[in-house]
Amino acid sequence: MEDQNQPLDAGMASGASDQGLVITEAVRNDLTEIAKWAMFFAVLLFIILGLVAFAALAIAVAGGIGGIVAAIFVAGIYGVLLFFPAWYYYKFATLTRQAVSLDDNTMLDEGFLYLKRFYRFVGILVVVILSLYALFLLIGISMMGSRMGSF
Amino acid sequence: MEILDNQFTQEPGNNTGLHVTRAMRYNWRSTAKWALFLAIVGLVIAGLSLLSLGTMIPMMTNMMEMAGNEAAAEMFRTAGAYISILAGMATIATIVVNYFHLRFANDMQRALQFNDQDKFESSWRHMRYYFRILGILTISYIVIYVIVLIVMAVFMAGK
Repeated sequence: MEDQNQPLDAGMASGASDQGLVITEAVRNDLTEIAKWAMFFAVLLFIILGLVAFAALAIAVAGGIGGIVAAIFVAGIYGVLLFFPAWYYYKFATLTRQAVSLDDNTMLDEGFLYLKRFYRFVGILVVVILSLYALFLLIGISMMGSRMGSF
Repeated sequence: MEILDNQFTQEPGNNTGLHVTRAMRYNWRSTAKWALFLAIVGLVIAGLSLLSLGTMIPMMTNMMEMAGNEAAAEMFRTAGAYISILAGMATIATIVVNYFHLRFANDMQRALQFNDQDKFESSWRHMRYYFRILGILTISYIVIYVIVLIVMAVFMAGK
């Protein structure tokens, strides 16, 4: 159950923004924990990126010219897909933690900018993946339809 | 009245040096929109996998029986329950994670639209729960993955 009993002057304390919302101690605590988890995910993504780079190197060494092409392909695609979310999470986590500990509003502004960039990147990625699924589904259905028609 | 005056002038823990700016509001609005989209996609995928959970194992068992592969059908019959339970638990965890994501997005949008401080605090609380559960799930998956790798290595070494 959420606490419905708010003081009459909620949001009127000195330093409250002109737009009504206040970054309270509770929000600061939430942001600190969110930043810690974001740092965990950023480190995890960087580790996976390192493993992918290592695998690409192994493919390049083992596969000759074809291997090098495959390695560039793998490292290129996975590198872009993994690096940007990891970087955005890392920046969000470091900036937000510093902002909360130093009471620096500029850093907090920048931290949320990186959170937005992370969400935008992942969102667009999901839209692309869903579109590809839909496209393959349509191609599959049309191929099945043409086969059924030939019987 | 005296109590109200004291609250108005003192209020020590409720206000910090950080304040909400226009840029933050703009970024939160955009973040909330994408978070809503991702939460809905996540919930739809979780719902579909929950639907397929009840039909996949019996379908595989029937296919094996029709193909005359009784051993495989028996394996699906016995292991199917365990696979279903594990997959069901993973799906429920996914639903919970996406629910918190959805609550973050909805509460943030409402907070920005109506300047609602309760919703604003609630949105960050839900975001914290979202990150916490997602983090714990990720650690669990990594631990399970490592255990499976060790078991497989031991099994292969034994052979």
